[in-house]
Amino acid sequence: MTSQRIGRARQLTISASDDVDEFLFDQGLTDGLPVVPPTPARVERMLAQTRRDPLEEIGILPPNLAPLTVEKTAINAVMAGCKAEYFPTVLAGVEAIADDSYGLHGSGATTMGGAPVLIVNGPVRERIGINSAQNALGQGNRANATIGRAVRLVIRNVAGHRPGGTERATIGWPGKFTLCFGEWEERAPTWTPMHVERGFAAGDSVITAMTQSGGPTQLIDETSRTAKALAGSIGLKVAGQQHPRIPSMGELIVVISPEHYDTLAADGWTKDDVRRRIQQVAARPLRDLLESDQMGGFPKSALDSWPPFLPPLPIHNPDGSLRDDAMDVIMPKFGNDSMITIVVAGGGAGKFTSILDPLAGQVSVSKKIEDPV
Amino acid sequence: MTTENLVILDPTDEREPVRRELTQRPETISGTIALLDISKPRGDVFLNRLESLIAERLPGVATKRYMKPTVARPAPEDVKQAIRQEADFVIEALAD
Repeated sequence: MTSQRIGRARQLTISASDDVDEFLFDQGLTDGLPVVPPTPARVERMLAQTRRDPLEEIGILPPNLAPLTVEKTAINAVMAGCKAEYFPTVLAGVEAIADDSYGLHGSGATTMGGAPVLIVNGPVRERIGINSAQNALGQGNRANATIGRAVRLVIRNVAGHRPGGTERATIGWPGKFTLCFGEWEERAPTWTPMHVERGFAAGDSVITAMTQSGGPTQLIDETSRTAKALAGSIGLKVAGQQHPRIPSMGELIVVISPEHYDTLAADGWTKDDVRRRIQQVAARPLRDLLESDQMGGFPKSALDSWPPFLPPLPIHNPDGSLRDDAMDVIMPKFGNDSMITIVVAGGGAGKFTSILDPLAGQVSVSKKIEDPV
Repeated sequence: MTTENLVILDPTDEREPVRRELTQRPETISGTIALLDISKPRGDVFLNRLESLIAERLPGVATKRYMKPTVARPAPEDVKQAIRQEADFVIEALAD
């Protein structure tokens, strides 16, 4: 084993009399679970899977404004338990969260508790064994578990997000350990895969990072036999998301099981048809959303000053005043259909759809995964 | 039990983030106070109340309102520049 590709990361020596696992915990380098010690030989194996220079800078990560290199990514990928062949996927994942449009600072600093959910498309899924089938969002698959964890460890160790420091999640959620899965494109042949919807070629391998703040919650619908009824159930489920009487401000992920896909596809419905039905069912007239002394809801103060970073509401006149018929205006749950991401994943048996909770104001980013060396 | 030391590579950015010293607190308040709304619901309610209290208790002090375009991202440079140039103090309504 040579160490020619090792960059210039500082070497830390752990005394033979010290306990390696305890040392790594004590240094604050883990997510609360044990990590694999990143020895030079292991990092070297990881780096051998990319053509990129170990010292290449991928981005500057907030809040520490720390330069993230290929080598630092490899070190954290080793710690997360990644096989070397996962490394190009991890690299593309950190490229996505390092993209300025992703908004990494806010996703960690917010009290809502944001974390990247990673969705993988293309041939890489089969090549390295990313699970998109049974238990896709669950435990037990090494690629899913460790690729997501590697990105999280980079966010902790390089970007500097630490709970109690600049990371301020009020409640937090298990997705902050890891949440990575594949879209089962082949099981949904009549639907356009997510990466193709986003402008990539079908044969490209792509990872998408989307900040979410909770979930997944599961819709159980074992009786709907038409696409309209089933997509209606999904719309009803997401209408209550975050707050049942407040429009959502972030990007939604809907994970549809193969059996639910079959029901939707049997009527010829596309992903866009499902999006439209979700919007139709989840929308409410403004009068049904307004806060009252009985229950919370759409804040009356927002009628006069709607935050400018959100899509404008159809309740105002061009001069900003409230329309006379504002209370009858149908308010969409999501500002536009493109805020709804739909993917198929999960086992062959079971009529379920899982919904993740978005994080307000965040923008998802997709990056192409490098071909194998 | 191993008898050899183990060498690992540092997964961090290898530097402590810069610790920013707090500006020394002035004895008195004068000049202009920037009131920064970060675009969270009811931030304006809080700042309106603060503005009227300042007008009542500190009649010689001016206030000026600023707004971040989105709660989800740090304040853009032009907002920070404007506050630096036009105000002596800043109060930020985090609304959480």
